[in-house]
Amino acid sequence: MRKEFTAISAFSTLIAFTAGAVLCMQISNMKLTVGWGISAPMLWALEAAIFGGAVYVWRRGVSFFGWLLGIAALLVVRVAVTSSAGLGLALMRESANVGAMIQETTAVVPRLCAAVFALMVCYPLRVMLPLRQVKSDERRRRFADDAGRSARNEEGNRGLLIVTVKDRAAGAAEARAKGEVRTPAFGTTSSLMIEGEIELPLSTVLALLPDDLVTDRALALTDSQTVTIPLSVIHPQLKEAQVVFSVADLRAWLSPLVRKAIVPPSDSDIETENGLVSLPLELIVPQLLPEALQLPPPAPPAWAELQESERVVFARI
Amino acid sequence: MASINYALKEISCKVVYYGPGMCGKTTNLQYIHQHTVTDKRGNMVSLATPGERTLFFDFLPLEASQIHGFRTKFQLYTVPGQVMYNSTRKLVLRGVDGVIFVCDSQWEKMRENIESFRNLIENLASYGYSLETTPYVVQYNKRDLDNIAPVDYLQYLINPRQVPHLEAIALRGEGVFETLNAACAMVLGQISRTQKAGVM
Repeated sequence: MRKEFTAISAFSTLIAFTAGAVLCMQISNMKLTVGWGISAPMLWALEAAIFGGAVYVWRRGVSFFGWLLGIAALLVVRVAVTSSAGLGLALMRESANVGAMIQETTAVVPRLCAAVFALMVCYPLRVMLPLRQVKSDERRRRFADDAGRSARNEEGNRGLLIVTVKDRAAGAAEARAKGEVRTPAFGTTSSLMIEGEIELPLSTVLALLPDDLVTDRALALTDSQTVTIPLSVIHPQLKEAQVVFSVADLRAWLSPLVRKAIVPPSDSDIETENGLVSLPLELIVPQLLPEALQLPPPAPPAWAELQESERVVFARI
Repeated sequence: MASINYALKEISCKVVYYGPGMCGKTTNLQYIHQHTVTDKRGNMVSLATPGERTLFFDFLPLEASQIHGFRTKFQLYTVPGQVMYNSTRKLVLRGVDGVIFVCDSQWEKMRENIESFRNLIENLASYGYSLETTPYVVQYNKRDLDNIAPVDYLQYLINPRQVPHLEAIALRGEGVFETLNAACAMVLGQISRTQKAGVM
């Protein structure tokens, strides 16, 4: 997600503000009389409701404080737009009573017009609103827990988890029974042919990508989409406690719909460390079947064999 | 290596708590110090920074019950986990008889666990020791936290030899004495074996 307020954002904010003020001036000049009979408190409430809805839609997962801050900012900008329009009119008419001109208007049409432009002005600023961090962590943990449960559930393969482990040792034993000649069997995980896939929530993967690659269109898809990554490329990295891929690789595993919504990484991104993304182990490991973490046959050293008589050396008081 | 004084009928062994920074090595030692009988332990020496990070090492001498007529003394040490103190870690490992490798079970510490374990192997090798001949146990600490890796995965990463491993919550003392006893028993077993083989 884009987290910075850029120069382009500032420019569009300024343009929207100016356009809003000018349009409000024009509307006030036209002296439209729309007899909707909405009282001033009702107008304020209506504006607050519109702004509250807008902030919620713009920034899913916004904190309560962020939500209130967003509404307050929109109201301030809306007042600023109408006041600027009033001031402009006063200057145009060379009116001496500037105070009366910039007074808050109760006319519905200019107010709504100013509200629309306040939304346009504040849209680029939405990235500054704080998110609910804890909830996001909880969601990730819940996903990991669910993934773990389904991995250990026999029925799980039909749902989220699609992991199958082919044991060459078992295959070789079967072949020997049939009288076929195969390569010798090994007991370690390196000899296992890991097949299957791991699914990660799209929101998690997008959060790991460089900010400038993720568009709002991609973010809008996060609720329904997951990213499917072949287990064969993840498994060799598990031993290092770090699952790292390039942005280009990750992009290839996204669904076509999401891929279109992501900005392709530049060559410089691919060549530098910025182009590498480390996937969260806590979401991957719970999806693995026990066979994927199989250890070699136990052959601990002689000193590791404990005799019962030697067990208690120190006692707690 | 362990020293045996036949005149005084005394065996002295050195056990080192090893592991990444902030994994709970000093907490293990503090719990042991607080929960052993006073006449069987010496003072705990701890050189730490104000932020409770071990600066040099912690040291706690303990005396176990008599084994085969020998008074058995254990010197427990911890190493500073921070990467920059490698020379101190190497120094503490000199003459080690047994190692307790303390792992931090939190997901974000997996990489540090691996690096610390590799560092242990390297530092042992600098004295000509290896984990094939040096008894060690693995303690998976902080099992009470939410964001922890399953033991299966920790075993896969740290303990492919499948030496004894224990889960612990050092802050509450769970698994602390069990780990110490397992390590000490293995050290004594190893001494006994080498004695029988006439190595020492």
